[in-house]
Amino acid sequence: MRRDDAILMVLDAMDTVDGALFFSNGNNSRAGYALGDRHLNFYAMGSMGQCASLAAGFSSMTDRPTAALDGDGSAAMGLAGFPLVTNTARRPFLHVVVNNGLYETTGGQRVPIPAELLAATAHGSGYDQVTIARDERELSSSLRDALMGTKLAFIQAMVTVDKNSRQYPRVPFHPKDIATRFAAAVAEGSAPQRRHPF
Amino acid sequence: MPAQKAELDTTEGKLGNTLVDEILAAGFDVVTGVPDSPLASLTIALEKSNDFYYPGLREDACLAWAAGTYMAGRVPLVIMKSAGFANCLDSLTSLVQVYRMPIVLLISWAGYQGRDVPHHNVIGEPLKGLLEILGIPANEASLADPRATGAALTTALYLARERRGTAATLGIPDWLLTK
Repeated sequence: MRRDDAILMVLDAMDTVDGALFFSNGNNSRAGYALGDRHLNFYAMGSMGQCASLAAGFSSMTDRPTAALDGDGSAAMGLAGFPLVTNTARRPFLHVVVNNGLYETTGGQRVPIPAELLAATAHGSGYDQVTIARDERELSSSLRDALMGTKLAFIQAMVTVDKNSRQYPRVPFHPKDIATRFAAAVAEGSAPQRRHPF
Repeated sequence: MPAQKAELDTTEGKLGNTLVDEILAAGFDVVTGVPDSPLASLTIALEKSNDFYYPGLREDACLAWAAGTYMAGRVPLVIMKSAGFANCLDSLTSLVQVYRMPIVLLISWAGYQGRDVPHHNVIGEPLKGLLEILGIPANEASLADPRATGAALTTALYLARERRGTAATLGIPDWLLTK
């Protein structure tokens, strides 16, 4: 499974429920913007490790389906946030980890934690659907189960390492404008506004 | 002695309950954070509240969680000790400040004026200067005086909203004030 295909599947899944989607730092935010910018996307371009906690804080105070699209390195950095996420997020809540085993944004260094340990930690923290999706079919099934079954889900999308995968430019918005746009979309209950600039 | 303990509990309990009332009166509608001993009466009172207090394991995660509640329209307060402030610098600078979120921190000021144990003094003594360097306005109040702490939090929330950024109230432990 390619990284971009996994991200597109998450974007499509959250579109179907008009959900809020928080992207973690680095390539995930850049790819999320490039592949499907929408007003209910929140690009957390810094604060590595905190994307799921940020998303859970939002989820805890709304009825809107919410997802965090994380990397394996950033998810591992934020392990201490897992219990706060599971104690507070409202279902459905999806913590999707695009797992390539690498700190890709910083040059491809190895992330020293196996997918199985991340999954076990998620399970122990109280996520009630923990899956490791190894292809598009498994990811699609996991996303559908989480959203339709109103789960608190931790889904790892195991993606291939492709040295030729497209590198996207930085998100061209100032962070304050991302926050303002997101808040307006939440307040208005706006329809998703997707576009595919690449 | 049990009788003295009960009396202490009652006094502490009243202090905590009053501070919760002050936090509500200041305009906050959700609290998260990590406990500290000078904040014990507050956190004990908060734990009795419904849908108001959501404790976490680390201050950086709590701050990010609070940022999420702000994006959902809430008015969060994040409690921590001065050592915890060091834990959350990245969440503070690369999330809350740069996305211009008016979030208030109530920091129990271990290491106040270098009057504490060495491992608290290293971060506590320069704390106000660190906040100033980061562009975070801060005021002070004695944690033994919940009315004063409430007034300081009210001011901090006003400053946070006016500046669209972080503001802090530094709560001074009573035993360090009199030391």
